[in-house]
Amino acid sequence: MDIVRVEVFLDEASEPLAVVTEPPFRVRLDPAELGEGVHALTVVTYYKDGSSDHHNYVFDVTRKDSVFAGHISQAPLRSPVEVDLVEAVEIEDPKPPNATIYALLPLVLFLGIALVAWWIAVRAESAVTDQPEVQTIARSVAKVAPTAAAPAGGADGATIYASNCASCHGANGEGMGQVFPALAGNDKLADANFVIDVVLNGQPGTSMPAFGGQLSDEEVAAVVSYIRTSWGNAYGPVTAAEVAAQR
Amino acid sequence: MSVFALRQPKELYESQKLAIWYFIVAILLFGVQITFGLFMAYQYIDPEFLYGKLSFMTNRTLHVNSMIVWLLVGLMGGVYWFLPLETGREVVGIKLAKFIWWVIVAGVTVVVLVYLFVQVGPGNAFTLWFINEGREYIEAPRWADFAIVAWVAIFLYNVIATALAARRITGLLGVLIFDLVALGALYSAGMHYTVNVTMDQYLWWWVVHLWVEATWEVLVGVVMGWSLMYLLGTPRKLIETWLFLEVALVFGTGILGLGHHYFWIGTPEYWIGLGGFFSALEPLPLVAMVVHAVYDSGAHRLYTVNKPALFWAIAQAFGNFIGAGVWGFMQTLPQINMYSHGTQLAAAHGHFAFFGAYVGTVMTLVYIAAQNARKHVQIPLDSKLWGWAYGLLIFSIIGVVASFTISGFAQTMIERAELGSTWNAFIRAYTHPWYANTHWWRFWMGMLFLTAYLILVWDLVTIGRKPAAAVEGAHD
Repeated sequence: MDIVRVEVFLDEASEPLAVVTEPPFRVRLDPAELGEGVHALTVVTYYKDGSSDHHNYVFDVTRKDSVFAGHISQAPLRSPVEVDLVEAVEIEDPKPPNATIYALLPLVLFLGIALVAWWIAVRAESAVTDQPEVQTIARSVAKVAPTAAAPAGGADGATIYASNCASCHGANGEGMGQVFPALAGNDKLADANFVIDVVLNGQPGTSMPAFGGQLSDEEVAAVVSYIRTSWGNAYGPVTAAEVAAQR
Repeated sequence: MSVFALRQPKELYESQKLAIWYFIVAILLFGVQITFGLFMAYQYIDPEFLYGKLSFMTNRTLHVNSMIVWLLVGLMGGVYWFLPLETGREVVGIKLAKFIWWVIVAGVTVVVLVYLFVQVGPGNAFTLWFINEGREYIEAPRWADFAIVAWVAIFLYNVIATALAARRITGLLGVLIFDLVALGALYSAGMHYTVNVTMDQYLWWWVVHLWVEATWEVLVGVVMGWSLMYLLGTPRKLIETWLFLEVALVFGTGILGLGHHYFWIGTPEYWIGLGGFFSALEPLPLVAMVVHAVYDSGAHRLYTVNKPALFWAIAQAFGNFIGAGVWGFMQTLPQINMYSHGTQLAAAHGHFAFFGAYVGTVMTLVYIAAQNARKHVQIPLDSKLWGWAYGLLIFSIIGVVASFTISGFAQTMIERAELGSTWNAFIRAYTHPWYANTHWWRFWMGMLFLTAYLILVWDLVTIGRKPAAAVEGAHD
């Protein structure tokens, strides 16, 4: 880079403090000519090809001992200093970086990491299907898994309640906190249509889900009847026909 | 005194103009992240809010994904900003960089709209490719994954080709190149779908942990190192020595620290020992960063060319240490993690760490760009508003983190330790006053955070406009 001129501006001045046209590119700062406090130095460099750039220093002029002086020097600026405007490394010829280390090695590493991840994923995929013990476990799970067939002799309200409702409303309808209302002794159960509606469609905005999709009319009637006649409740049973009418 | 990293031509480099676009989109996505976070905070209080229109899970996906994207965009913008200054020339392949940038902006918009319009549906090969890949935090569909890898690859090419063309490699550039290699390649680990959940998670953590706790931390080390040279004039030798130390510590502890995610997910038991030990050491490099930032700022008596950027850099050092280091250490030991795993304590750590480590970094870079993007460069850059945005953002995120910590503590104690992770225990913890009441606290602190964000945006638009202290001859 051929530097033809370096201009130095102090603080808000529009006229340069100094213009340097040949090495060494230095300027002398005398604190006696500067007020105490923070100052800014703007260094504008012009190159042979017509381009230019700038950089800024901040420094402090003080009479105190305990402070450093920002960009300019490590010590407080109390006596005149020579400030380097261009660093030696900028005038030297740049050395090209090693392309093997900074271009080829990154590429190899990139592909290496991606390949290892891909290999693990492929191995994981085959681990599921190839290993005989996994298949044995899968077969035994399939054997004991319940089938979709409905229990013989019609729907049992107590069983349906235990598997679908008790986790929130409690095994004895006692509920839990304000989130899951108690069913034992709950006046709202008097309205059969309301209870059927809540079981079928859920309560939007609360934790109560809809069971209309997974329970038949008979099963809904059985569980609603169970709720309305258990734990001291005496609101009477409902029929599958009433449920069907609400769907 | 090392200065060549800071030479700014009269006209911004094309790469720096691109960096400004990166910062604008990053700040906009920051707003998107806050908005969806507030929706979610309110859904905790009133579950009927937006019921059937915007599900909690979609909200969470958008809150987390927008955060990852805007922070990554901000960090990459920082590199595009300083790369031409560091190498003294325009970035090689800048046209390609601009092209992929607008592809990514369009892609992110499409992905977000698809998340919003398709909130419920089946999971099959089509949805995996075009709607949602299903992995937490990196839900982007696979077509977007390929775009992201292409984006990082072009970015890597820009950095390497520019360094080679400028015939200059510095410590900062060397670290940056190898860090970007790991960053890009590791993302590919999150793109495989395997039916074995353990193996799926095993690879998924390569992205989530090794990104955030290894490659991102190193990238932060690089851009913060450059920022300190710009802000304080710290000698390059000092910066690079610390950087190498930090890289050694981050990779030395962070790579095997990955084990703290492998405790009970079906991986071999030795991960409990490995993960517990190495993850416990992860705060070490963060301590080093605090020591460095405080020493440097103190040595320079806070005399800087850019006040908001320096203060964000200091907040970053402390936030990274406290949020990532202390809040992470609180729950990384297997004896504690056994109980605190997946509670609101994890959310407390997440909020504090991402704010401290990454928001602080991106804000530092954004203020440096804001200073130089004006016609007159104000030195030192200062305004009345930035302090309000800075103070309120930090105050309100601490409020949010405090509420998460208290509810997480109640949850860990009641749901896990006392009642043993039963369904009943879950309900007891969720209805406990320490859990339920802190939801309000979190929401209002979130509103304050939004206010502070608006002040920040206004400040970024207006700061440095008045050439009161502008130095003539800089940009005229």
